[in-house]
Amino acid sequence: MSGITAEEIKSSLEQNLHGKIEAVTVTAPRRIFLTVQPLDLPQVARFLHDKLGVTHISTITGRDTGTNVEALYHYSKDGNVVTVRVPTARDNGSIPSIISLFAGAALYEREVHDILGVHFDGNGDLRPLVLPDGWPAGVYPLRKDWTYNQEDGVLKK
Amino acid sequence: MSTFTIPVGPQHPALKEPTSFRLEVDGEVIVNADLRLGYNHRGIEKLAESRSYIQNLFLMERICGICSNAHTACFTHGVEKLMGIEVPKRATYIRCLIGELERVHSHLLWLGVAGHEVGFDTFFMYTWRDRETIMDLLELLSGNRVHYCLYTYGGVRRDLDEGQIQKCLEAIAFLRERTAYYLNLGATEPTFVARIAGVGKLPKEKALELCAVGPLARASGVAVDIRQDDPYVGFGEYIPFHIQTDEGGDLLARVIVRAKELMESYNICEYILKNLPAGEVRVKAPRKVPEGEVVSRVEAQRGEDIHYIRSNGTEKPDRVKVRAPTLANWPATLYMLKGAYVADTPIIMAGIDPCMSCTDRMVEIADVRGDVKVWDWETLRQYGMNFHGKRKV
Repeated sequence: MSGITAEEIKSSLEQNLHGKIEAVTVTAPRRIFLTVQPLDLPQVARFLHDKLGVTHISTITGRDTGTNVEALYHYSKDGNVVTVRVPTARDNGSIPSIISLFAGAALYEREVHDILGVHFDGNGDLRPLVLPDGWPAGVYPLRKDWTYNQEDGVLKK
Repeated sequence: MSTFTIPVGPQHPALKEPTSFRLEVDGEVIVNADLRLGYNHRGIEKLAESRSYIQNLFLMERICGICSNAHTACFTHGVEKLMGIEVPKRATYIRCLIGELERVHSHLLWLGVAGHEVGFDTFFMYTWRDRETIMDLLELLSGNRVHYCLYTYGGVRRDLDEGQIQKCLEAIAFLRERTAYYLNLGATEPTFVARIAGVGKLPKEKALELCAVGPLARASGVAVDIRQDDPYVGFGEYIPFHIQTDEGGDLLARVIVRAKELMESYNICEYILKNLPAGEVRVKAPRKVPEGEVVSRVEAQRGEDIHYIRSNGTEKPDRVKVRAPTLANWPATLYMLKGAYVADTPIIMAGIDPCMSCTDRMVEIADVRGDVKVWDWETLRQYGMNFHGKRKV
């Protein structure tokens, strides 16, 4: 492998985004995790894109922690995966969209919106992607309190 | 300018996978394309949270029938990192072998599909006949043609013996010769080249911008391959690997890249079979997984496959996220469709090698049999038998 190492990414992030990022850790070779508040995400994404030359976003993972909802952005650069954890509220949670920088993230944002109900400000196309037409509004199947035998998850004929 | 919207799918004869496209056309040219997914959404991520790690091994295998090993591999590598166990070297060699054999069968399948979609059915029949060689090998090694389930936590379920190694080497020598012929044919046969050159153009900067992965990106000159960038099962460390790319950015380049990757896979398989170290193939793995989170990646045959796994210290995972390579390639597909001819739709869609699932229903767009527009498989079969029965030989 050539290119930037995980440690170099970590120190570059710490030097340039002081105060905007928390808990930057290299958990394994080529794996970096950090936490960013929703309103700071555009600045962090722009830094990754413009200064570190990150062009690829692998996916966005949505996760219900029980108290809030997290979106984990998995950016990829030279074999390193930079996972940016963005916590937001469970109800009416919202995160600024990154599709102006990473056009490839459009479908991932739609998927997280579908299954966890996170709103992405700036993404004009949040139509259902994976859930069927007629799925009840406000029901998000990947939340921990949603179970298979719940009636609101059953489609009416 | 007045345009017309054509729905393609969810079930479509050219694309044996439930995905719905809305193509906005102006005459023969597609001016806009939109897609709708979810027809095959089975809630596997939710299901994984209520299954034990051992059960999830089999669940991951069943995400897809063609790249089943890729998902199991990705998941197992991640869970093993959380468990903190080291896999014996002989087991990593066997893991690598099964992954490459799976790539070979998948790429041969794709070459056949590509031939079929452009009306070159001889190519389709040749490649699919040869693919049987590899299916027999997979059955010989794992007991199954699909869903090999060779992976387990701590190693592999089955070892290889001398006889199996010999059979594999013979099969690979045969396939190497056949693939050299396909590579030559795919790149030089005038009618085939005329049909696929310049179709489905994806420039390098667009491939980067739209986060394309796998052979699609590599055929546009983007040198990304998880086997090189983020190696696993010994790639680059003790198993030699060389990335294959092409600058063309069209369907011809995609055919060439996949044929070249087949040759590279044969090299890898032969290296493994000739240098297989002795020793154990499995170590004991714990039932409970310590708390933690991990991002795992493998290069599936269609591109980067990524799993995020979070453990809460119990027998069941807290969250499993799967992103298969096809999802990453849809934005690039929509880009390629814009400006293309309607007639090129099947090969452009098939060109990314979308994960296919079989369907027993076919949509007949042209109204050739009175008022019946939708045929089921049996009607189609009867039609075929009647048609050929009446023909004079």
